[in-house]
Amino acid sequence: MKLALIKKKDSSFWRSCQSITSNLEESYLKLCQNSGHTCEVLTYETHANSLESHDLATLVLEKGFDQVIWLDHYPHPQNLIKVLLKHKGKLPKFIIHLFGDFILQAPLWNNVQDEIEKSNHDFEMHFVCASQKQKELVHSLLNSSNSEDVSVIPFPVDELTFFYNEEDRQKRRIELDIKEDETLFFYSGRLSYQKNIIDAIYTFATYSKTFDPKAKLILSGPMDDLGVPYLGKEALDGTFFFHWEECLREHTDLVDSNRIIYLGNLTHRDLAATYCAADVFLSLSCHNDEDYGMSPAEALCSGLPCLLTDWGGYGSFKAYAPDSVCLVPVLPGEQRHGPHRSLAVKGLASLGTPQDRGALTKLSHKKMGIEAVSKELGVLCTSIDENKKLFAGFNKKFFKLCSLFENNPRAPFRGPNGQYSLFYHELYGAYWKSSEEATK
Amino acid sequence: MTIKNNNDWSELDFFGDKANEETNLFNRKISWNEEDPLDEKYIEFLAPHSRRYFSRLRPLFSFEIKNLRSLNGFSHILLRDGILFLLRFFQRFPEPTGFHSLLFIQEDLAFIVPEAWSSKVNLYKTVMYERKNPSHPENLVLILNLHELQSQEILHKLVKDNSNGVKSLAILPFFNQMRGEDYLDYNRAENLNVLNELFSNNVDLINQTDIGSFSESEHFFINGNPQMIYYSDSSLTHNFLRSGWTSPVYDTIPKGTDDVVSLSPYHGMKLSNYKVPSWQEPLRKRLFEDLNFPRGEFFSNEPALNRDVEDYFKIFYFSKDLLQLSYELGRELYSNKSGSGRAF
Repeated sequence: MKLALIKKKDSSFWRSCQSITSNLEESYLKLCQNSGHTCEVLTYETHANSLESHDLATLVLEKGFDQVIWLDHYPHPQNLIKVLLKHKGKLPKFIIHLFGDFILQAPLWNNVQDEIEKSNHDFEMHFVCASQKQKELVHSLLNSSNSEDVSVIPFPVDELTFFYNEEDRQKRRIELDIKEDETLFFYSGRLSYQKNIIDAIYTFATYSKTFDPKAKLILSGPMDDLGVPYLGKEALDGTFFFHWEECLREHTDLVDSNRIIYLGNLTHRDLAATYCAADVFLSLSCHNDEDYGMSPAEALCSGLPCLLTDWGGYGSFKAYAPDSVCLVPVLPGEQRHGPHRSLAVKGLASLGTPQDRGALTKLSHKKMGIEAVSKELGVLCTSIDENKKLFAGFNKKFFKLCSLFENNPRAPFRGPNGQYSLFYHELYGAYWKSSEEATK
Repeated sequence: MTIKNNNDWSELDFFGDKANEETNLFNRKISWNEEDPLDEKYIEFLAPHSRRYFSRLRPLFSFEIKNLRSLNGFSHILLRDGILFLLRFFQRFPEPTGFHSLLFIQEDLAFIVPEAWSSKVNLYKTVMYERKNPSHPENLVLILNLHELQSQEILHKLVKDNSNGVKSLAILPFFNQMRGEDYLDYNRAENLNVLNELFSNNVDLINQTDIGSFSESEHFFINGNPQMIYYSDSSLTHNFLRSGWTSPVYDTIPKGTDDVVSLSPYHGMKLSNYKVPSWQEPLRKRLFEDLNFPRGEFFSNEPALNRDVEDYFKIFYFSKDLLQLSYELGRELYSNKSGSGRAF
């Protein structure tokens, strides 16, 4: 099979997406090395205008690719698909890796459906989600009862960067001034309102007071000021820092004794070493776009147990490493969802450093490493080639979703009193569902 | 907060429920000072530097102030103005009659404050915090604000002064944004000449979207606003500093220093009492003794600023003479400041 791997020319603005696209590309390249398939990487400009889409479509057709693999979250493939649909002959099949912004891009997918209907073409496309819950969310918008229409393949982690190394652990703990008998909790990722960072700090503070006064919490990553765009709640630049500062002022004892430390942005190397140095990864995020979670994936690959909210893509990690992931139920709020804090505190107390972090690394690499994912992708490409699991169009719920975005793009899910609408709760039902129930 | 004098801000609340409530009200500008077309026009004119941002110091431009009494709901506010708007502010309000709050203005512009206002004004400057393991970036991103009368000489000096030992130089240029037919009267040839000169030095011109692929450990920045004509406080500067970028323009101080209001984990604003430093005295003399600011004849022909439809159709609610004077003062400010051994 001949595969075209398409990605944006420049890196994504979002750091996690940069890793995802690059690791997916690596996985496909590995797949081709280990099989009879061939592949070529094609790039797309950020804005992907019609002219460039035309050139790219010509290239795709001339080279006779069997499958086009869409590796990036942006730009959307609508323009390329639109041009290809004008071609009379056979078209390559599309495999689309969906990111967290699938819901935000719903109107663009609506355009694709319209173009397919207009063209009367047998356009064959397949969605790949990174987690089970995202699959459920996407599937609930499809005109199909066959759950195999959407696949789940985790976003891969670079196993050569993220693995447990005892030497790195010791060295990094010295750099960070963490004593042997101090338990280190670690959060890495964006520091943002919906990531529930403030909840994480309160949870840690309670844990520290109740169970382990020597424990430390390190946070790293950029701060951002995204509010709750689905409800039209926007924030001025710098607002998150205000909330951060207010929260830390309530925990001056922990800040002054260096038991809550903010490291800012870390290089990949320092990030990997900090995963090794830490004892538990902690994220209580309830972000709308939490379709997966590169940070927990990297943490597990570094042999680090995780305490996560049972929200969105985080649930999948429990299935990958049942003994090393503790999921905290999410409490729905009118304008904000948060973790069940007391259960989160209990969770922190229950997670200890595993006896053999190397074994957790091995297990996680088997599920999420580039090598492992490349094998899953091989199976997927073959089944797509055999015309299994193809896109059958969107349903009425999806069209309602698009209409909400088109009519009120600044607050599509705002209910009559400023709260999340009933439609939002229905749409994100899969993200709420307990992962244990989902597994049953 | 340690320093006390008549304009005592040591008692000001920057923190706590009461202060937060005031700041919250301040940020909901629609409820106390609704933006009118003139505000919109100037905010757009100065974009992206004029973008609103969150600060406990409550930043705004003086052209947004419709009357002084509207500010009395706040214990303090910070003026983001450069020379031009600050001159205009004190020309509009030569005395603080009816004003019962405190102003913070950029410390380099202390020379503009009339005596009558001196008990109502304090100063601020942007500072960066010392880091445990500082990186030493060698690639410079220079933000250039190409205003119509900006001195080419100063811009060239700015580029030259900051290019030594730099591996690469990229320029992120911005022009003033015009509305309606204002562009007809706008002299952009000078701006383009400046760019032309810079081009000949093989400088990379970049867009703001390119910044996403730059890293703060490899790049540092300078927001090139040496004359401080239109603004002294740019939200773009805060965006860079907030993301962990560094700039040689700002002093570096230990975190936790007294009299500093933080804006991010990396930077804040250092507050000080109103005082005109000796290097600003010649500027003050020029303004107050030679031109009799703010009531002198030179300033009496400024537009009334009734914020009516005519003001909307004119981009300038100041005279060309005032603009010219601002540029002259700006040139002198830059030269005096760099002459006194300070970064611009």
